Amino acid sequence: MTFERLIWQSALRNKRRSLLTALCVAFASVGFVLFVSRAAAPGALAQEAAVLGLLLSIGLTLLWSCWSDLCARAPADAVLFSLGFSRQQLATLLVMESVLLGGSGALVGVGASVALHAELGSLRIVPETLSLAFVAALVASALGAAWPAYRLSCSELCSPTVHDEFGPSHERRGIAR
Amino acid sequence: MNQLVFANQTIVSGRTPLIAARGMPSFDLDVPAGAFVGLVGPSGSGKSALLRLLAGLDRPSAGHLTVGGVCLNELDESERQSFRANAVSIVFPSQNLLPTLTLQQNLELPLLLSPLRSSERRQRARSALEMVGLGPRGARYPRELPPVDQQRAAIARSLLNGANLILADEPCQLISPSDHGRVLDLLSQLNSVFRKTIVLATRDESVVARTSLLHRLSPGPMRTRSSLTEATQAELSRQPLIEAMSA
Repeated sequence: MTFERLIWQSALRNKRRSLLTALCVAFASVGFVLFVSRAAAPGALAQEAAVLGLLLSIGLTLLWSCWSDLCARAPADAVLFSLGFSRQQLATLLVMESVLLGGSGALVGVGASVALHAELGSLRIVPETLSLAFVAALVASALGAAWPAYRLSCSELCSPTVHDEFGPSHERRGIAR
Repeated sequence: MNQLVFANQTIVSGRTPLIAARGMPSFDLDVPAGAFVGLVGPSGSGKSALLRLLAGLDRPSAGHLTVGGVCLNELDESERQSFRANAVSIVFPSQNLLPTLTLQQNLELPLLLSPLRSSERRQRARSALEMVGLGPRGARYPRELPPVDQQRAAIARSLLNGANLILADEPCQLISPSDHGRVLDLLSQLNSVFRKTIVLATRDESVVARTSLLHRLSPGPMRTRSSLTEATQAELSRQPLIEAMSA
């Protein structure tokens, strides 16, 4: 049992969000690689990577900020908080989880791009493009989780531990903040 | 938590106007080291709020809260984190275990914050599980176990961080009445064998029958006061249940 396992278990806890994140990053990576590889001017790579990163960050921020997602992870975060994990550690876990999923998605995307390249011979894919797509996806994943992580660290983490005769209160009210 | 602090026989003392401000009672509560204390009251009487304050999860906005000689009011966020990690354990009514980790991995969670090696963490978690009779089920996931075993595993986890104070918030709420005894047996065992101080909050009068000291809480602006002196401790051997305070 390590922190990495803890990050994985967190990713596994919300399968729908995790799958969406990985797919989102994978498609963005494929789109980026194909777009950049269409005989574009060599100097445009950095700008296009920046645009990809920005768009992906916005998309991931929206995805990870979903109320239902923060609610779903609230009980586990409350347990970890009560065991002595700090707010910063919980926020870091969330960012690392996003980077892990983003990295997985980017790997799939880059792999798919290479496979597509073999099919569509007209494209000129170079290793620099693939590397840049991967790095941009990682940065975007970290940035995308930054705002939700900040919200998480500021929230009332022990709120889900409040029970009454109807069960856990957060399931009816949402987590307090 | 420094054991020497327990020499004054007071590990918890609280005056928490914060609770009164929320329409709940304010407290003067003294709990001696090694006691098994019950807090009984209806919903909204402030039991869970008090436990969360004692666990360092909430911060009192006023009043004075001391656990094991540590004044919680004066702790900053990092000291509070360290307090939660080392000095106190809390057992919630449910969802104490992360569903995607096995029982053993769940027990290793508090040890992740310690400098122990992975093999030693595993060993300690296994020992704790065996201690509560869940050794063979260490590889199972919480969903594969009945609620009573999940609670017992959560209680076993509280042994691992070395905390002397265990707070149990409605530990029997979501388990069948026939299994209450198994959870309470374990808490009693921690109290009698490991000399853990236990504060158990519940609405159910039958659950607190084994506690050595009982505090009743009621919603509304009331004040309770109770302390267990050496004289009353001697009396405990004859009278297991003391209703120390009521409205």
